[in-house]
Amino acid sequence: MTSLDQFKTTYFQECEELLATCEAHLRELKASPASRDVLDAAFRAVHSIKGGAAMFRFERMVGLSHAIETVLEVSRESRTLLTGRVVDKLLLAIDRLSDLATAARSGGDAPADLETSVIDALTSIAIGAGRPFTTRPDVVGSTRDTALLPAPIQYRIRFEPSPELMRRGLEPLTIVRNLRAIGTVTVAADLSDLPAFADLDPAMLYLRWTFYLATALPRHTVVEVFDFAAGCAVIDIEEVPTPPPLPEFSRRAGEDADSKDRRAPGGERRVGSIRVDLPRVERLVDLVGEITIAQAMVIQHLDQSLVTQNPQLFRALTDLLKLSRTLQDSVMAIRAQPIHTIFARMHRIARDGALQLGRDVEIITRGQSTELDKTTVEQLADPLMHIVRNAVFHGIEPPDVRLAAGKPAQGTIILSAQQRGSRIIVEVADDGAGIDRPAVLSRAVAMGIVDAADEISDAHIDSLILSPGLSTAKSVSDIAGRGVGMDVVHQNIRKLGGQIAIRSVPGCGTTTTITLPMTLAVLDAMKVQSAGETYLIPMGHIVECLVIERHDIRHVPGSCDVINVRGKQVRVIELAERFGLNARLETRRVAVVLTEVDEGSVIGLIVDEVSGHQQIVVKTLRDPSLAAAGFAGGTILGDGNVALILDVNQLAKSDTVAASRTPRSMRLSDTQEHAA
Amino acid sequence: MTSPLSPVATPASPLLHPVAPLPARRTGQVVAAEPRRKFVVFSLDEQHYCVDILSVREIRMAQTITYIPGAPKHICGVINLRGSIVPVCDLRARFGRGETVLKPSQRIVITMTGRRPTGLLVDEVLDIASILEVDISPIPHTQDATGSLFKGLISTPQDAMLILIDLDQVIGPLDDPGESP
Repeated sequence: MTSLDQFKTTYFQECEELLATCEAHLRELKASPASRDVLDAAFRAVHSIKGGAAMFRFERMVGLSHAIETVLEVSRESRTLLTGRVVDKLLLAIDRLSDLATAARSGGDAPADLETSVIDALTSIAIGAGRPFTTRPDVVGSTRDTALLPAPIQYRIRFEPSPELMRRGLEPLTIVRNLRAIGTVTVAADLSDLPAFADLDPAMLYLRWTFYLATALPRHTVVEVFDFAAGCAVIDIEEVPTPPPLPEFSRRAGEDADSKDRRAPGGERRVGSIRVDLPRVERLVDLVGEITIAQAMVIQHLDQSLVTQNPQLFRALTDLLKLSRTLQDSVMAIRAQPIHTIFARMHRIARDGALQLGRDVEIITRGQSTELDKTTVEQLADPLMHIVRNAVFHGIEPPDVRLAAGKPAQGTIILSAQQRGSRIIVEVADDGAGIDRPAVLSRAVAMGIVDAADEISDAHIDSLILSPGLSTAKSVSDIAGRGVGMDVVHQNIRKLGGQIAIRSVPGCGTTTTITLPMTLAVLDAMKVQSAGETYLIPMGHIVECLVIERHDIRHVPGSCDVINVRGKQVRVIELAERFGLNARLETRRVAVVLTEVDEGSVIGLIVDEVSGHQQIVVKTLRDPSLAAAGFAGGTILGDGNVALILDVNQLAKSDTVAASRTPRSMRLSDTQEHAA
Repeated sequence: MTSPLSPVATPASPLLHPVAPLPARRTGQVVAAEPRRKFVVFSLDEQHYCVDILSVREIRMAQTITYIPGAPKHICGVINLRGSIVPVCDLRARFGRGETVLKPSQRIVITMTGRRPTGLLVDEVLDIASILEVDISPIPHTQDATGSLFKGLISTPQDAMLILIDLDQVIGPLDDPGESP
């Protein structure tokens, strides 16, 4: 990869983020057109896209982003311009811009007149607002008619870029050009950091500049020129009363010490960010996982009495635990990504779908800054897309139907995300027609998923659309038959260690709730013992733990066992029995772990003992021969042995496992182990 | 602590020659061109079996094997192999000779089929044998399904018989999605 390619890659990554940001800001503007900050932020995003595009000579991207910029620019002065219609046009333009970026990224060419109509539309908006419009920008900020403006102001601008500036694909010369375009500029360069020629790294920037600029344009125009370098340069813009004397290089030497001090160690000024290859972060995550295991091993083998007698050791241990926990959180935070990256995509999905079907849909997002593990975010995109598409296609009715039902013509889909404990809840709620329960039920009966004779609750019918093959059946004549079905959505969410639940109110809409663990790598789990075997139950599933008398377990003939929990009958599963473990302890008292399963119902797992809470590193059971009984994975315990993580949903559904062999772990008795 | 590999070296095998030097070379016969393969030899009850050394990653001391409810019959559980979870096949059960009771003298031979590690629980690892390709004879055809788990029979200079295991058959096909009930 040449360095130019690297710059391009970085640019496109940034471009993607900027487009998403810009889209989000525009949407915010639609809701509150008066927000100056938001408008500025949107402007900055487009501006940065344009700057980069110009640098790589993506002419079409420059043209389009320039048009967007102009409209935003005009709206800065006449706030009334930003009507919903204009924002919609801008959003469309952002879509097109993103198409152009995608095309440019893959090295191809987007369809020839992809952006022409939208540029025309934007141009007429700008002209309508009395703004002369240049279709081909020469330089940033050159679109103004300087003659009409008030008397110029003098600015002294100190620009001290980081040595890495050029490595990031930024070119300081652009600044000079752009400044020239908005006023009269005098430049002084500080060469004091310039090394001997032999030591000079051509990719590094050793220079600093002071610009004296006389311009009549407002201060923010000046600030914008430096926007692209924000984060990797010290930029200091101040108004100076009189035109400065022509700077001399000798004078600069005196200022040197001063500026050196300001760049001195620490460099707190540059918060910035770095891009790190994912494998490196993953290695870090793995290592932290190993530390967690190693730590558990150390603690397991430590003599407890030794610890209690030695307060210093106790304190050191507590600190160690705390630190490694913090380390873990920090490492996970590196991988965390705000969910807005995928929420932003949903707007487009919904818009495209609505357009196709002639429906009017608005998407409202909440809790976009909620953070999730990167892998989870990536793998959530597809299922979420499908759910949103479903909401548009099956949920939201055509405008006339909606009006007839007394609802506003525009349908609303609310996308929300929130953190609850160590889990993330993502919800897609539409105000459409709700699930057509009779249709779903009749399909399910026809497919033999349920028995027509059974009493089936509404909630159960709603959850039936997650069954394989049923989702497409409901939409025989519809366009939404393509793509993944709801059962695949279900599978994907399950793969992420999550749960999905569907609630629907006929005539009022459907809500799909996805519950996800924050991270896949490390899990809080409850350790339980059953017939001498150790199992782990993810904390996210656990509602509460009880101790009951064995005779409190009632058997419902032909069905299952239940217990009474505060007046409610709860189904219980005895783990030892389910797994066919033959060494079941016939103790009088047993522990019950109440866990929440997919459909929001609760089941109790009967175990011999609940032996504590632990952080575990999840290891997948990759081997095909292990996929059978439906475990969520395995982990290595403090004693170095493997323990299985229960998949509660699977347990609730599956039948008793037939013991295929002596159903217990093989251990060397302690004495033998020592002998060995 | 003894190295996990040490049992290979310690028990003087009454059956086989050590790997090197090859006796043929010592007597000056021209046999260098004849292809030889190396096998890890182990015992299960009285019978000796072997697997191609190229598919053996390491040999482990017996360790706790965690039972997996619902796994196939011959998978007696999983072990922790330096942080990854590896299934272990009870070869005795696989060959239909009952289940193994774990003893410290037993070994777990970690084999690789494709990129998939599987442990084989065996009684004892005996030796590494270097065998001429021509000395491997095919398995006589029988009705017994167990027969298909083997690739060939090897006669040793001591008139003993080694059974060459077909790992792919023993462990199961690679693309098995594992959805079996």
